[in-house]
Amino acid sequence: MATTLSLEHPTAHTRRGGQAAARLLPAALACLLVAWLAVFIAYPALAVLLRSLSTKVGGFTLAHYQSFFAKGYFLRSLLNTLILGATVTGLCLSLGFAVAYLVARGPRPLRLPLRVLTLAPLIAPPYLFGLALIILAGRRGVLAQLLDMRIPLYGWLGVILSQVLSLLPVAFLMIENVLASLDPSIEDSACDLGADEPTLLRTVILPLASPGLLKAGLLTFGLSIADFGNPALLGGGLSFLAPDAYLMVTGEWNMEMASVLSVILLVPTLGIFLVQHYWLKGKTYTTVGGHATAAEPRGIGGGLLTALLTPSLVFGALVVGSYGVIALGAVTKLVGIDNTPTMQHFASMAGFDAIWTSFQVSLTAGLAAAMVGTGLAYLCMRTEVRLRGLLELTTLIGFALPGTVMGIGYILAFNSPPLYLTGTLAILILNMIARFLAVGLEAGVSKLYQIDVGIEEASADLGAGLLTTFRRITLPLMSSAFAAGFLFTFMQSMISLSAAIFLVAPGNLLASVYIFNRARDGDMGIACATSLLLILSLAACLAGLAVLARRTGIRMSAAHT
Amino acid sequence: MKKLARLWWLPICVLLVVGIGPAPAADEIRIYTYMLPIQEDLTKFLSENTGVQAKALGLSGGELWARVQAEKPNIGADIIFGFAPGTAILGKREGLWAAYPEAPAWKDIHARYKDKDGAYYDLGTSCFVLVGNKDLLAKKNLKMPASWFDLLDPKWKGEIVMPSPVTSGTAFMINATFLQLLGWEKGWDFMEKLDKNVAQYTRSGNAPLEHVGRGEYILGLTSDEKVPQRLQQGFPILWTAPKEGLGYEGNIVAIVKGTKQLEAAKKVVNFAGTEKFQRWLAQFGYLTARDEPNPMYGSKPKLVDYSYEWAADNHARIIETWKTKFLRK
Repeated sequence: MATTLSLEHPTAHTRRGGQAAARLLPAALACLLVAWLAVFIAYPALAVLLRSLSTKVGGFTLAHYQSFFAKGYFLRSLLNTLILGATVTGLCLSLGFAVAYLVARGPRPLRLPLRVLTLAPLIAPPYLFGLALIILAGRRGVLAQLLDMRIPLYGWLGVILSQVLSLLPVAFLMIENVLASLDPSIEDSACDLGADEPTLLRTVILPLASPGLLKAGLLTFGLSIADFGNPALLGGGLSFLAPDAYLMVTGEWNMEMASVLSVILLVPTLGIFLVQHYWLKGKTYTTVGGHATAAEPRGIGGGLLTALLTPSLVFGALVVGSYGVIALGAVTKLVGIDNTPTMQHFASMAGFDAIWTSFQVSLTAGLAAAMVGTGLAYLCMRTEVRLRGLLELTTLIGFALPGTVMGIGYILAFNSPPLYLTGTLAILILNMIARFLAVGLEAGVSKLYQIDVGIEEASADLGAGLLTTFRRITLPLMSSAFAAGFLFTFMQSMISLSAAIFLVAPGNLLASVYIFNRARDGDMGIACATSLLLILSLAACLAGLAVLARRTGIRMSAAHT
Repeated sequence: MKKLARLWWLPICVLLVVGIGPAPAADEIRIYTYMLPIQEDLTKFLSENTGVQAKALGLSGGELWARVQAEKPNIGADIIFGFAPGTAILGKREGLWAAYPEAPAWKDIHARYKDKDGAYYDLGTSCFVLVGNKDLLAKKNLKMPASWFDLLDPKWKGEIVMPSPVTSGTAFMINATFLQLLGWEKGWDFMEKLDKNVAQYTRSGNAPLEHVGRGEYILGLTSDEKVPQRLQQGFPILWTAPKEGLGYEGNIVAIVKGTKQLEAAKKVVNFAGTEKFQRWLAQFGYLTARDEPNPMYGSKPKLVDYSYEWAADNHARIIETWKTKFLRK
């Protein structure tokens, strides 16, 4: 380490002062960051836990949990949530595997279009597909009218379909990563030994990919049960934990019960995340070594191709259809019923204002989260601050907690002095940073594993102080981690709903909340128009960032997420 | 690499500019409102006519009241512009409003629209009406029901949509109306029978209109606030006021006690009593305090005998009973 090394130069008398500073600075920074994490992640999370255990006057009680388990209604809600998570996970994994396999091994001309189609849902708010499905396949949607039938969309069908549409990209990205790490020559060997395609899949590829599939499955499950928008829009009479917690707060101001629901929702989510992070860490089979392999992946045969391609194309058609009806909904009076072209839905300025507010919040949160995240990574990896486990765990908790929990936690924690933040833009920004900080940290940590400490030591030996070394050496090397942290936080802040919906205030309305409220009121035209604007601005932002990245040579990889 | 290091400082500058941002204007008024369909027109109209900058957050009735309860005594709004009389009464009992009895524009308005201590004013009433989808009714050869009791006919099974009182103020008004019209026992009995035909309870009081307008369900019990607008836009809807009469709800405006913008808030409340504002409000279908000409109803519709006080006193009891009876699996 830089500091230990410089101790071996007692001759450099004048650098003593600098040395003390070099020790103090990281320690001071670390204290500051630990305090920040404690206030903005641990405190709200604990506030939820404590509230679920307290009586109205502040005493300890388990009564709220008793009433949760005594009331059939809440148990039903828990059961629904788990069934939903399992179904959506199963569908996302099979479909994600099909698409990823096609993208990795399928016919060349299909690969790029399929990949783009599968990733396309990433730039839309997660509940956008709920909205699109209502227009597309609702009781009088475009499809229902074409086929002259009524599709029972409100209920299981709608919630499952919309969640699969919005969560597939996540599963796909992880599975694609796994498949990319499998050496095609192993498959060739299997084929040479006489295995046909299904045997190959069953005995070679699936076993090798299974740890990765498990990880993808756990993440999808966690995201599904935490999702708030789609079940709220399409659930009909069905109850699910995340929207129920929202109703408990906004409908009844029953913070105790809302906290109980949050804690119950949090148990599987947090469990999954910790299992994934600590138990599954490193459990992947990588058959691609550092050396180049000559083999180009084999093509796949007719029968299997059809079997994989059909569901992928259905999915692709739904994605295209969804974006299509959103665009149509934005420029027609009432798509499917009165298709007169109109620009009236763009007339109100509120949508523009909301997108601008979202942009301000997301940009600030993205930059701050990337800076703090990579800074934390540096402190953990390169200084004598021995808090890595705790710091990582805290940021991971912030990341893993369902947005609903973090939203409720923030109301509980910051609605009274000394930290009265209700109604400010700051509370939205802080909330986003706290929730997505982990990505920058993880990217930074994995990057710093790859950078040889020697480079930094050389810099220190040449007389550079800690700060100079950080700025001149480490920082440029960490730019891709910074970019990953920024990109993820920015994108998520632009589209996430579940925490923000508790924290918006007059004049501080975010686009995702505005669109959701409009959709819930049934104002489909304005919801579509604002969604379209949001998606277009996000696409423009991404394009801008890609240009910036190419100019500066920073790698921006979605693989970090 | 130098280029990269230089880039590093750029985001910090952006961060500072964006993060600090412009400070809120001195005459900015923060508003909570449940007049969702007109919230944007409202902020614009208020800002243009009073010189204050109005910023509104639209919340459904239940959400609005929950938020006020949560945030007191630090309520995040200066004015509540448009909320339920029942909750206004509860708020007055808790001392949440700053009284402004001397508002000049309200002097000549009927006492029914004013709290006797000036704690709040009633802009005018909204009703709930029965809406139907014209196309679907014609296709199935059905007629718009003329009485609320017609809704109990099994032919409407799965075809009626109405809001849930857990989140919607309109829904609470609907429930309280049936209870006041028929009495506690008979009222719940009616709603239980009605429940057998209800396909969905929506979160917002305006959502049933949209479901019916899109032709997803044939009939809806909905707030009248958006009906004129939708009719004008050519939605295939019919509306009626069933013969037993309509339930109604005031749209209260009250100044939040402790606001830092008391003068600006008074300006807004006073303006709400002027003829200019009342005429503007009436065009959306509100039956205003000044009884301005109303494009939707023409003459005043038959209203049920409805007591805000009774509704306020039984608020929690009604919602609890509703939940035990109708909250679905």
